[in-house]
Amino acid sequence: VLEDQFLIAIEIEGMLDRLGCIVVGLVPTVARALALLERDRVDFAILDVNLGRERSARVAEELLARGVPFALSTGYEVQKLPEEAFRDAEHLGKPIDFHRLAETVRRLMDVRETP
Amino acid sequence: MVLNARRIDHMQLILLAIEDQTESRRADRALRRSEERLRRVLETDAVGVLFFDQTGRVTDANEVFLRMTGYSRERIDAGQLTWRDMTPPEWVAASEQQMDQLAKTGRIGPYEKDYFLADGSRRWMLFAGRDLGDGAIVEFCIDNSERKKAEEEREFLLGELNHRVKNILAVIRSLAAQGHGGPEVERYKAVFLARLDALVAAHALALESRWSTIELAELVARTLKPYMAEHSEAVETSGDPVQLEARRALSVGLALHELATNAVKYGALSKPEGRVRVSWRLEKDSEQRVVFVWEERDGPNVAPPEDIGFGTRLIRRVFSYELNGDAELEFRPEGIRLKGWFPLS
Repeated sequence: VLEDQFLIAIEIEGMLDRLGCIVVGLVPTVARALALLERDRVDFAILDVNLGRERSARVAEELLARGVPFALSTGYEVQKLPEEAFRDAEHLGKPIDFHRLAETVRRLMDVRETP
Repeated sequence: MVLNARRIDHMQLILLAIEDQTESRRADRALRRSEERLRRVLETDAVGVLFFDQTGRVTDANEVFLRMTGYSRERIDAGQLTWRDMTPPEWVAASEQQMDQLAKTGRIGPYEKDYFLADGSRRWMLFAGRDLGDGAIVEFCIDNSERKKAEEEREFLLGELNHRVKNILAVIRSLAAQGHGGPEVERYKAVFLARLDALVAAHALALESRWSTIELAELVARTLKPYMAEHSEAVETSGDPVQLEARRALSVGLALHELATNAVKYGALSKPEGRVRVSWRLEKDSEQRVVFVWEERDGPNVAPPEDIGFGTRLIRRVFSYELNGDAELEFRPEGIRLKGWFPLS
């Protein structure tokens, strides 16, 4: 979970917990997110777009390159984001719509379980 | 070359004068070229050029200025246009100040003002000028009404954003305060509303600063205000001037509030003789960093809690997660001590 506000990050963590996911990391910056990707296996990521001083596009690019699915949770309108890496990205809303998150996680699990 | 020959018969001589005019011709041509260049410079689109005399009368203007403003060359030639005619009443003082500056430094502006066009309508203009040394004054002006309009729109949107942020916080506060429940629910409500109020106070500061920077002392004062009525004697605050980015100030405000409520519930502020010292300093080595210390004493005996509450967890994580710094929390018998530090920018 890449989100610069701790309170929002732990709320997303709680939602993922309830869905039976193991959250390998909450990270507030691009650098810490990239380090996490080096260190751990990540099956799915949730990205905030505006991290205060930087934007998360660099992480989205890395996820695309690694074939790791991700979804956005941002206050912006996703269609208007200028970054190429965010094109076609799923948007979970902000605050996150739990049902949409649940559906997304379930869909990803299905894909994984039936290769 | 100019040749000039003359026969002097009685001496059987021909006097021949040869004058090399290469230099002076070249100088003439250069002068004409330079004048032509300057004339073109003065007819650059969108840049009006005005010439004044010492009394403020317009003596000449370029075509761009006439087109921009609608004033006629006849009026200028008749000496019937002065800067005062073109200056709305509320801008006269500012313009006179520019004239004073001209008298002192030989320069005008750059400055902006609202300006009367010939038809009485107004445009924003940016002016800059100087004394030409022969009693004349030249002034250049650019119509920047479009930029002004964009600025006004941005102002409006920022005001609108502030309004909506405050409104949504007020709506959330009202939603949370509705209904009554058992003591558990009421307790939770009180905790939640106090947290929300701290958030509202920090947001109000951020909005006032127009999301630029906030003085740390001001943030501390505002966040602790709800507790100061009862504990004004017990809390001492001091520190270096520190300008915090608004976004980061919101994080610090959150941690401060948790520290204060914990102190009231379990710490130094739960006893009349308890004291809290809040201090901060700016340290400089490779980067500027803020060191923030919350120190309690003379409260009830403190023992490390068996399990860390949400507030305590939040305090630490504000420093390590949101501020890219870190924090140490000590449960000393005389009271807790939190030392947090983070890079200023």
